[in-house]
Amino acid sequence: MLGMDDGWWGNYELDIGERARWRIGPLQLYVERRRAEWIVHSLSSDDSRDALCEIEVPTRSPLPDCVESHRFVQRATGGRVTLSGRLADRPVVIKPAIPLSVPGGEEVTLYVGSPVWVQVAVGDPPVHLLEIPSHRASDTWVGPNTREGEACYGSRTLAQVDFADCTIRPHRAITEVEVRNKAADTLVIEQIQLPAPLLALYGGNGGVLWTQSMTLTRDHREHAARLTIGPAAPTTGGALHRIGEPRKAVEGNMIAQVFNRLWNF
Amino acid sequence: MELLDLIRAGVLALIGLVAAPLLGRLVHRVVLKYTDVQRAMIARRIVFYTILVLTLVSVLRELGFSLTVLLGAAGILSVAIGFASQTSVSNLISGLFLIGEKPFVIGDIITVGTTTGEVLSIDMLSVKLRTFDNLYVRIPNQMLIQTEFTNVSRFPIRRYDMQVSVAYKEELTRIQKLLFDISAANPYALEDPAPLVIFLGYGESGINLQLSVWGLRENYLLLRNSIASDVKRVFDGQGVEIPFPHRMLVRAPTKR
Repeated sequence: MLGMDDGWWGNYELDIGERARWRIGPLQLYVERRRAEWIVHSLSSDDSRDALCEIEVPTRSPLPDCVESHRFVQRATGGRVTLSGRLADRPVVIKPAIPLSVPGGEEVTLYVGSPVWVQVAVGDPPVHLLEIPSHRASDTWVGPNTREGEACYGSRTLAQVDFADCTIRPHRAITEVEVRNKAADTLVIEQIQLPAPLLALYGGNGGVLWTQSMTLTRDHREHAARLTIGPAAPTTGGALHRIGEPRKAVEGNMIAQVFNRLWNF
Repeated sequence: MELLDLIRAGVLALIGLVAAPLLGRLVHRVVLKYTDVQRAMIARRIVFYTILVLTLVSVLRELGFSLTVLLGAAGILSVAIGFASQTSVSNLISGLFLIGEKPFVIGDIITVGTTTGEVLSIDMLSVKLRTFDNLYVRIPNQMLIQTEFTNVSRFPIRRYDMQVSVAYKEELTRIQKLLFDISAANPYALEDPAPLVIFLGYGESGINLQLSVWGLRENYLLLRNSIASDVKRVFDGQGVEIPFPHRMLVRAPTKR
């Protein structure tokens, strides 16, 4: 059975004694159903550029060496396995591979990627078993000094201006960021702190993952820029299905304050 | 002394003994809402011992002891005890300074001399540590006030300095790039603050360098172990020689 929108997420059926396999970029995931237990095996490589997406339900391929395994016991297992996704559990600091400048008065749309965590649930209604990062993203620190700040994940991006130029990877979600530089001078974007725990995840056609769109506005004479989260996924992605909820709720007027601090230039 | 006095004293003692821990716990819970564990623990002890002392005084009075005589005796006794317990008093005062200065809190990891461990409690006379090999260590407060100690877990990120040596034939700019690439590929090494490669000097067997990488405090051991194995793996793969001291053995000529 295929996942939704040709992506790896969705519902799958397994009989007792069967095993399913998913290859989600650098993550290899195996789910095994037994009479009274589920066994989830995972193995992640260091290659975050891996764009392979494979689904084999059921599979006969043997387990690779060095997998990490978890057992979940139930009185009797149901046949359904549900895979869904979520964004990172910490903000993601995205650095353009080449520093990016937006001249005064310009408005551009950037596409940036961030890693996705895979959630495994079984049964109907789904019972959550575990959540696995698609790959171990690199740590980084954002703060005024080494005593105060926030731990984040670091990620490199090409920050494409055309969606057609983006490389679609099954383990990375694309965020559409509209940058509005209303000031007269140039805005140099050295890094973007994506508030991943506050964003929902959407799945679209062709197995593309999207997050809510965002707008970055720099007003006249303002040194910092203001970031706002859009109410829904961008229209660029076509018809999208919400597959993952934000980890944290945004509290009303907190957005502007939080994101003024979170975006760095 | 009448039976009624005895009963009254007994009831007072009972009330005091029951009330002291109960009120202590209540105060602990209330104080904990507004401050840290350490202050809550001190507040609990103050309440506990105050109620115990007041109970003792009330019981003695009910039993007919004159408090004036008792206080006079206590005055003389306290001078004697004061002389005998200078160290304890010094520890007590040091403890108050430690609580006020707050160089560490319960749960922090500190290094005192050669001992490193987790702070279990900061008491009036001493600080109790649990070392990583699960030993219970008591350190007098006076010692902590007088000597240098390190709070390992105070700040959220830490730097690991790894010393590495390469053979004289290696090109330094290439080694520097390899070390930066290793840090960038290691997920526990922070991208920011950026890693550093420092030239330490021309050593006996090779060129000595230092790779300084930052990591989150909770990942420090993972960073330390993984970066060392990454350097070894990449150097082996790239044919970079890690020198080691060579010893030449010369056999002494045998006497005939």
